[in-house]
Amino acid sequence: MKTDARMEEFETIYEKYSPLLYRIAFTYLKNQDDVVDLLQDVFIKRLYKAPKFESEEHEKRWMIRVTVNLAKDQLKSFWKKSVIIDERETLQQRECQNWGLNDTEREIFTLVMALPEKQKIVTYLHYFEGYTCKEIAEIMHCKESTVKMRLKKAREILKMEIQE
Amino acid sequence: MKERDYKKLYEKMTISKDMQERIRQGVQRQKGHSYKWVRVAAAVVVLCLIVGGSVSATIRSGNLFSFLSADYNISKQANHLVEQSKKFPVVDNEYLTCTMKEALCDENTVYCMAEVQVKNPDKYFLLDAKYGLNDYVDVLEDKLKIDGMKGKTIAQYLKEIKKKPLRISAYVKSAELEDEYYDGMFMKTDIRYGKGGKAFLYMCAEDENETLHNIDFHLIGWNPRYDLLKIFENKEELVIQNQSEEVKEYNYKIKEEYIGPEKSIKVTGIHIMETELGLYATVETEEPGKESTDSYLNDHCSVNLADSTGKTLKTVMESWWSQTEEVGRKCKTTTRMHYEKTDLSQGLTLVLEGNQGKSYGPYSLVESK
Repeated sequence: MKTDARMEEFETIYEKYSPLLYRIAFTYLKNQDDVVDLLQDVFIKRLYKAPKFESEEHEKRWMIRVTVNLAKDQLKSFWKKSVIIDERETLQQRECQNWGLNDTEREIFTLVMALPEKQKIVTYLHYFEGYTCKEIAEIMHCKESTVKMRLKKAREILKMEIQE
Repeated sequence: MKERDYKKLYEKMTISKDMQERIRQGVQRQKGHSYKWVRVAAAVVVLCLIVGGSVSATIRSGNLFSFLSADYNISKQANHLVEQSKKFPVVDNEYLTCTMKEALCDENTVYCMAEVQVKNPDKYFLLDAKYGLNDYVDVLEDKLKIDGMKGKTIAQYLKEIKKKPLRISAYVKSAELEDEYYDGMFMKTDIRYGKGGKAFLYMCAEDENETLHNIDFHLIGWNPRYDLLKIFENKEELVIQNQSEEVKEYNYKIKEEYIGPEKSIKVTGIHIMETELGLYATVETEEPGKESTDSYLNDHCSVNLADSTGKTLKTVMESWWSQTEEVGRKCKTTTRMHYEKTDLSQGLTLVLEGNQGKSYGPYSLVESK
């Protein structure tokens, strides 16, 4: 594929997936700069190394999986962990301002961000993206019962009155 | 908290225009550059060997000790440590049989070799999925790098020889670690191809704290194109005894009490356990005056053992384990590393590497009580 065509393709997939992938990446990394680096990698992989997709849903799940995997890889890094620990408060406050969150939303944001990564991602995929537990299990390569357990634990922590 | 509040929050989490532009620019910079990926390169190299038809490129028997000694400095006398047992697990599914042939436990590390035999080698072409736990690339679209076949993808080649890809990954891990929380840390895998659909899998697992006895062996078959799909997954248990009998322990100290003009890091203990296959080093450091682990971590130096010339010793596993805690008005860090066998009588040094790229040392070590 020629470069111009590749960039056109990039614009299309960027428009389609960047909001979703941004939220997932931020859920893990909590840091705009890291998120930007990660999303660059995700889109480059999508452009140059993607498999042939059976459907749009297959492509979407692939993008989610790649984002999650790359974010987890980044978190394994010793230095990445330390930056997150040290600057968590400052970074979160900055993002709250950028997004124009009110006090209640800030409180929810702090609670959500404090969830363990595994619980955060299944909560997001289920309640925001509308995936079923079975679908999340397929995306995350784990058992359906594991997803249900993580959702339950997340709900307990957040004390959410969410009806499935 | 209501579901609507949760959704509203995530709706507001939007990417700024400035960040959007940075992503665009990052992707733009890739124009005209080939994308590098170690995993892809490995797959291509493997195919080069097989497609090239060189008999010498394939191996007939995959002895664990000869495999390890090709990469690591291991005494031939240690060959007796390899355990061969008929009790080892066997995977038998519709695609292949996989038999654990040899295993070796050296204190905190387990090495295993399994032999894979594809049941229908005329139909299936074995491909490895390196780093199978995080496998998300379509290797079939990789280009072959063989004279006369340049430009062809692996998929096209397989179509020509009328074979289907059978993509596998395997690993061993401590049975103590829960499968669902295991993220692939402290493991290593490799593969060597034989003829007629045979391959030898080499796996290594390590625990930073304890001797490994109970191991889980995982073998996964992946859909070669659609990485979210597994075509089979087998898990077998393996129990192995620690074979390292001649374990020697040493304590070392650094001559200088404080290291480096910029970093007042005090090395408080260096302990080395020498087994027949390697060195397990534990280095304890303190940083007086640093009261917070957070600030300490941001300005951290990693420690490494080196030979008398300051050349860092070769690690068996790339990962190292480190923990920092606040004790009074200082931070204490414990770092554990696993190095290949080294002649300690030739002298040891310690090297520190800062996160800004600066290194300190080498500092000579002397044995202490």
